[in-house]
Amino acid sequence: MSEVIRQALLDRFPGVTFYEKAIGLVAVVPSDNFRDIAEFCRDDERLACDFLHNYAAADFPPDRMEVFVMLYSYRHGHKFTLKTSVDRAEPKLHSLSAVWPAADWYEREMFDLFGIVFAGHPDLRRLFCPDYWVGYPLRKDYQDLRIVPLPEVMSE
Amino acid sequence: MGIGERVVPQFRKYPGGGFAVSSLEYIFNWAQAYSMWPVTSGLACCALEMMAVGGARFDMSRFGAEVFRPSPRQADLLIVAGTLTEKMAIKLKHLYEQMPEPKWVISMGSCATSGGPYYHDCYSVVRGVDTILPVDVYIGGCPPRPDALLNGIMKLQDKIRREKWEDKYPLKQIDMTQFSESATEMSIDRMKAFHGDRWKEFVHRELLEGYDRHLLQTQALLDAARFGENPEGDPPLMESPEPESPIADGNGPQQ
Amino acid sequence: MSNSDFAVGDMMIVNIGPQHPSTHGVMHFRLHLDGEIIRRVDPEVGYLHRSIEKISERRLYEQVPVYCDRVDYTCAMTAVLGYVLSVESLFEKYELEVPPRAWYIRVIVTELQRLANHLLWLGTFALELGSFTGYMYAFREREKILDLFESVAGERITINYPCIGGFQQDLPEGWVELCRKILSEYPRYLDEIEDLLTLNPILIARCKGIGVLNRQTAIAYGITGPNLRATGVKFDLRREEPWGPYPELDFDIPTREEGDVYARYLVRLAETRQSCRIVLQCLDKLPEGPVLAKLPLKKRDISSEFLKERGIDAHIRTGIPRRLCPSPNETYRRMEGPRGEYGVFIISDGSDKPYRVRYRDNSFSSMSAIGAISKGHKLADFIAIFASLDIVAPGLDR
Repeated sequence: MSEVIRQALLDRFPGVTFYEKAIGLVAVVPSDNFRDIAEFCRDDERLACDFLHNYAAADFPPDRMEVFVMLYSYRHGHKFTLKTSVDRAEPKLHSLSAVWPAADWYEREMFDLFGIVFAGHPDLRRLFCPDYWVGYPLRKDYQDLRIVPLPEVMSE
Repeated sequence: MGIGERVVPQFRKYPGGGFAVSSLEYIFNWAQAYSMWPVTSGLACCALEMMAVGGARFDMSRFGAEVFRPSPRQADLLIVAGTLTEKMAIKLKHLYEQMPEPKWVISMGSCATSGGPYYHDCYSVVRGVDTILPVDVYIGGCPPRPDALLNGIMKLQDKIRREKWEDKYPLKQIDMTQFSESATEMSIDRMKAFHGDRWKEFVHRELLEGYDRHLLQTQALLDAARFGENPEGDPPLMESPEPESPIADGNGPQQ
Repeated sequence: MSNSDFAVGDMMIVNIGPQHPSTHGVMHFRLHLDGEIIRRVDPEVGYLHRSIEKISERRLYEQVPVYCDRVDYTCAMTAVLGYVLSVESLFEKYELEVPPRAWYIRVIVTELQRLANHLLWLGTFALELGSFTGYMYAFREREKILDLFESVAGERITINYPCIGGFQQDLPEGWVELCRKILSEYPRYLDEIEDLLTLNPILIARCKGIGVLNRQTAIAYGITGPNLRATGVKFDLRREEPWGPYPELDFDIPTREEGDVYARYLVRLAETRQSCRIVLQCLDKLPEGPVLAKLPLKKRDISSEFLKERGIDAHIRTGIPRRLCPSPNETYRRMEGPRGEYGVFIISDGSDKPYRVRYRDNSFSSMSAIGAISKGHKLADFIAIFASLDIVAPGLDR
């Protein structure tokens, strides 16, 4: 199954690399043609990923943030993950909300909590935090006077 | 064996019976204690237990408090059931200010009482509803069992029955200035208490700018809400950007 | 009319929430109304955003389940189990072997939780359509299941019973018989509720043909669970990606073709009957044995800089407790929760705390699609549509 996915992606986009972890097959894609690859994953006969079931970001200071797009195909019953990394100083990606409507809110969430700007998103504003919020809470270096750190206990 | 059969012979003992002497204070307090109407303000997990209390098994109506009112204007008891976040705090305060006097507040669960499991490492939860509202009864637990809520209501009833008229009437406005205007201000207060005059050094600079802006907005909003006139309608804090005209996407009414 | 907070052009804006008796948790909708017809829904969420993902990054792996309970308090067993399954998948098979009895108990408690969740949903759904009796009936049944939970873990809502590697305690004595008794009586009580509601003309008038969700929209918005099965897609993660003893169990997946509010109602009621069947089968097959696996605990890998920073001498390192430290990995295990796909995405970095945790709950998808579903319906129908989707705020906001 994973061979089919690898082959289908490599035929069209030779720059894609792969690895496997507990999450399953992960395809590492460059961020500049992120949207094209996503569209290809939806439209290609061999992939046919019609269901975006999770879409999350993670912060890796000091230089990058990684975005995971988890896809499933109802037709073939396979799933895999697209991963791309963006520059942490100026995080910018193409929006997938036109490819899968489900991506709309996931992208608003990532904009809210990580500050990743999705170009072409129809309504990019904060989802959870109030509009006056400053900073992006899920970044690792986020500072806030509201946070009371838990004292670290070394022994039990 | 009704209550009349027990009470009426007592009256008969006195010449010209049929009346009883009691203090109006007692009667008023008694009536108020056993006819509390809570406003439906379930916020999080505790709301499920609050619903269970309204159900058949625990049956809140035994204590005269089952009439959950959707509108705060018809209620006199606010049960803060669940985690209060900063975004919700201002709405809850509006809710409280709309309730007619006399009114009481029960803080249900650890989150409402102190922030509970969200005290540490959390950026969005208000650490205790008593920072923004006066609270009469605290109930511990995460979430407390329905029995605990019933116990809290009975405690509140005891409290109401002990209240003195001279303290209560004419109704004194609670001095709301002793409570923080918002959750952000509360955080600042805590920082001041902790670091003294040097508190600004420990705070991110951008955040302070954001805080000043937020303070101005909040102040304007609360001033308007307090005098019952808010010309801009909904709180400007929560306002989303101007929605695009619905006519443009072809779903609007035909002109 | 000019544009303001109350009107856009000729449209009137009606605010529902955040404090409103028919919202499950705190949510806020701005409905743009043309007369009584809804033209646009603008949901505002985040009133219950409790930063659980941030907190999870700063807790040990063993401490996070406390917060998972609160990610989805209407089905806490499932929420914790989703996290536990994800953490277990970070280890190799030979490192962490969950005993068979624990797998069976996991199925039992998650199916009971599905029953409790659907009954809660049924009660609030009936209440929002104006049937207070339905609410009373459903809550009466739910209380029995909560009693079962209370006897295993001492809590009714935030149970925190499953833990990494199985369970801390076995089921109490006599629990199996009690559970069997309650579940064998359950279909009779469900019939009673169905007599009251299913063929009730008022309920049918308010539900049939309302809020139709077609298959393409449901898939495009990532809706799963009963909401998807009510549109005719026979997709259930208990069949597609089974764990534990699910492959050996005999159960049906109820589906409907219509995709309206009534179909979602019928699918959920049918699911409770199937859950009942599953639990009764598991109680019969329940093997004996331990319920907790041996955990692959490690000494934390602490650098000398870390110790020097805190002024701790190196020789105290022997006193450092052994923790669960999965090797660097990424995982996402999904499972069929009561309201659809539930899964936890975890990135581990070799330390004793997760690097990143993201909870995925179907409320998020259902909520993002509510505008597409309720467009063109009347204002009064919005409550029925919203109630039928089974959205709760904590899974959405986290």
